Amino acid sequence: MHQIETVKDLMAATFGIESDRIGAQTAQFDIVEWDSVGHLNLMLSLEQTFGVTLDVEQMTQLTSVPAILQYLEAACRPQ
Amino acid sequence: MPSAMTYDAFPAPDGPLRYALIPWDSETFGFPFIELRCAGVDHELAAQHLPALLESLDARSQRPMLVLTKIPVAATRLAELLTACGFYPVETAVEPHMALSRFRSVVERPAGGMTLRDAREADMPRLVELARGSFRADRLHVDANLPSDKADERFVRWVINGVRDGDMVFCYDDARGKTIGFYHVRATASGTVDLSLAALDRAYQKLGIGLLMYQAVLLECRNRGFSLAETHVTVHNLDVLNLFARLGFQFRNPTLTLHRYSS
Repeated sequence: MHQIETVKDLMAATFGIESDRIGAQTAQFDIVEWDSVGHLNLMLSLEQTFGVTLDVEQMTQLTSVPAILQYLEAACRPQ
Repeated sequence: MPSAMTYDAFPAPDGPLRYALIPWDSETFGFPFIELRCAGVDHELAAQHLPALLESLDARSQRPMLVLTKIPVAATRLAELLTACGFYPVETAVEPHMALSRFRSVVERPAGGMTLRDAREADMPRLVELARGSFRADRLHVDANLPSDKADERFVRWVINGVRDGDMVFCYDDARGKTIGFYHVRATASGTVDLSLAALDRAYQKLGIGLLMYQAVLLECRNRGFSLAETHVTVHNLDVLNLFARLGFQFRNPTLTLHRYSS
């Protein structure tokens, strides 16, 4: 499964919405369910699923699908 | 910041209405702030004495002057009487409250490496910066008769006094040690904490970080032996109301605050 599909599934499960509401350019302001607690839960899901640790600065930046994918691409790249 | 005030009766010595000068707000704004207590007073007595009391205050006080009063939202006849006497509504608030023994973490694994600690004197500049830019929905900021810079100053003094008076003031730091929020908490009645004043850097709002900070504060209060947490929140501030609801708080005492500004 491509990473974007994994991220879309995570977001759909976290926000309790259908994954077809999430596109490649979706941002926080596009989805009413992506509120403050939803964002926090999404960050926790990303940490659990991808084995990353997010600091608070990163949490403030990961507010769109492109930003999340860009972060994951860098963080999960083989060393 | 609030401490006990001495209320005078009107008419003295034991009239039905009571009023007191609010020293901290009077000092901050540079003119008298007077709190009037009329909730629970028989309506006919209030109607009889209120105009005379206000006339007396107007005659004796310097200008400008602000008189404020807090009444139950359901006291519509009293609200009508106050409005007829020049008061205008500025805030509806409720009191979130919770037994801390019932409190359960909403987020089990805190993300982002944030930590909660007691504030120190050295934190004052950052606390002042956070306090100055954080409050917009309270009754002092929404009242167009009051200068907003003085309203900011009130909250700055609040947190400064909290640290200097030895109240519990918590700093919420990110992983690099930058303070991104604070919470001023006061022990009131036995085992009870008043969640008095909180601020979170605007750059970190709407991301769930406030929830983590509030949760950390509640856990710390429970660890320090407090059994009940309570506060009051303006209904203008829906984000904070939703936050308290998510944390499991219940709500009581809807209250309407009215101001009467004499220039």
